Amino acid sequence: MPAPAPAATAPVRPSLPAGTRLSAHNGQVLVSTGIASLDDLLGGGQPLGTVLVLDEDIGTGYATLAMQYSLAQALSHGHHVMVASADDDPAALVAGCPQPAGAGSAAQPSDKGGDEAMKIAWRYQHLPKFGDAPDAGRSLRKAMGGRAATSAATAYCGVFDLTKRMGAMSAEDEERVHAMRLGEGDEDEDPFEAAYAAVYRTLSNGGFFASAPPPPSGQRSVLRIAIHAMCSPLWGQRGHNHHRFLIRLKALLRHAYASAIITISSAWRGPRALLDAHADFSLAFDAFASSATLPASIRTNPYLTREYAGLVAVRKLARVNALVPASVKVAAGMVGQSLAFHVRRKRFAIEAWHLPPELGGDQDDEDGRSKEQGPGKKGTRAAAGGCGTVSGRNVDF
Amino acid sequence: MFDLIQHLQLPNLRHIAVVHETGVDAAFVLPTFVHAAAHSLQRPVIVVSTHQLFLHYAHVCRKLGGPLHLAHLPPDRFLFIDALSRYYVDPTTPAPAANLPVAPSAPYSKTTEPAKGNIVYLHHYADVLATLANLIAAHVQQAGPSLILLDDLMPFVFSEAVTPNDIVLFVRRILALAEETNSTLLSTAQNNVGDLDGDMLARALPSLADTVLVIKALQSGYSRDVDGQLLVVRGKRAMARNPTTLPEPVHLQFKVGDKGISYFGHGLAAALV
Repeated sequence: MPAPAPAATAPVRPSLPAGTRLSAHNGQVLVSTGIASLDDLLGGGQPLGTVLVLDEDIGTGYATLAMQYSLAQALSHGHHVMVASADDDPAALVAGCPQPAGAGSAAQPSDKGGDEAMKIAWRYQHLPKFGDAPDAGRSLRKAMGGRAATSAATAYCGVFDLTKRMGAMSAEDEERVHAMRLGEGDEDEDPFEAAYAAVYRTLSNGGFFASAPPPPSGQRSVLRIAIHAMCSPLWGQRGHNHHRFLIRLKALLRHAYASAIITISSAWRGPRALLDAHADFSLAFDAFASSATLPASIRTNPYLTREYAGLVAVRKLARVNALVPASVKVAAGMVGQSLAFHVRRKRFAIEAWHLPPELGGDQDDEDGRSKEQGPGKKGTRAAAGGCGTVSGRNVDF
Repeated sequence: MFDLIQHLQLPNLRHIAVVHETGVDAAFVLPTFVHAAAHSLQRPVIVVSTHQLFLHYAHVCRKLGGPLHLAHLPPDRFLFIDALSRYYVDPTTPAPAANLPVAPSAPYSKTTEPAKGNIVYLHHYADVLATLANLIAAHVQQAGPSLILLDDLMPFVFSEAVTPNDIVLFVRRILALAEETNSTLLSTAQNNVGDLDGDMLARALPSLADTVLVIKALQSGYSRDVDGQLLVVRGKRAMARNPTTLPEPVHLQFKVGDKGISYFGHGLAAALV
């Protein structure tokens, strides 16, 4: 009896890298920044191949913290991480990342016995806990024909505990961290060139370029690049080096399974518009505690300072593979407006800010403005201090 | 609704400069011109892009509709010059794979054969602008009157091998080519970027244009129904050629949607009317 002919091998479709999902808006592969509200702002996450620029706040370190959230999320998904800094020790930046919430609790012995554990209602015992469900991206991946790459235990965007830091890492994690201390080499060394060379080397050696053959398992990994305090005095900016670096970085990333977050030093005072032009996403953090630009009426507003830590100006949102940004939070015309952020122990949130009605408008101001404009022009100017408006300017429509 | 492409009468213009102010993103303009030229006007198109890959244009044009995918246009109808992928990359860098998918989700979807477009990668060596000009000239001579889009020239300002003078000379050369072959050049630049060389280029381009499209943000900030303002202004070249007619600039407002852009007069947004 002749042996059965071997079945024709169907071409194997590559599976999505772990910790990624496809954008329903433009089909791009997204990675989480570790901050759910920032993911929403970017359109579900940061697309691979893009550069996110964060302006650092003066004195406080919220932009760096946002970057560390992204690193923590990357490590929890098993991504490779590359950190470059001239100001701080890159290894210390990684060690200072917040730990996933609940990661250390399993190791700690519980004080209470099984009998003393609090139970809310016996009928809910068999239901899964909130947040334990597999992430929503799995159904989308399944619909798009990809395999569910992440395990159910690792959510697409995790929850991190700011009171616990990563500290010393396991040997396996250390292999995935590529630290690059800039400015320690030759005096003539250009940190921008050194950073570019390091990024290129890491992408090339790690097989992160799209043109590199996929690993035998079929599942690629992702490189998350974090560049801290770029353009600080230690970077020794010369001419257009920073512009060249950003364009070259973008050119590399567009063809790689990688994304980058760059914080721009608050000490830098160069023209800002061009950096935004080169970046794909651009946000600027401004903390109430140390802001030099926000008006005192906002910085010292008791309601705002109690609820929020500062404002985030949305300077640019990428329109990659689409005419409009994929953001679900910010409309295309709202770029340039400010959102507010606050940081709690297990929550870093960026959201639209509102003043309560009693603080949102000042009757005296309104009356004064009406007198100034005359009776026929009342209501033609934007209200002062409200969300999404610029005071003292004419309305265009 | 106002039809901007029809209003401009592209075949009669030799150079359109798109200038946008800080605070507004004009990335939506060029793909709409690509789509109009490829599908409505049936003109050959050459795109020189320093910001986006071919994927971006292909994907946007698919969303804008039309009978043909950009990747399936014959080579004499469409040429994409990718001036980003090999930007400043040293010669030892491996070239991007030729079979990169046209649709970003293609590797993860059930499509078996990703289509390829007519793409040329521009290497940023010392003679990059001469190479680019020769590429464009060769294609226009072969394909006939074309629409040439430069998106945008600002990254060339930061090139070590190119001076701002070279860029202006390059634009003049392409403009002369457009005059010879009845082609149309469309260039973009951002105004007031705070860099001497960059600002010089942004001011030089409109002075070489027949028509200038100025894109501004709304002064009052965010509006749900209006994304920004567009001014259609006659350029210096047009005024020098025909100084007797000085039409008023056209003031428009626009709303960018996922599948198209609507232009309308002041106060005539669809939600308000």
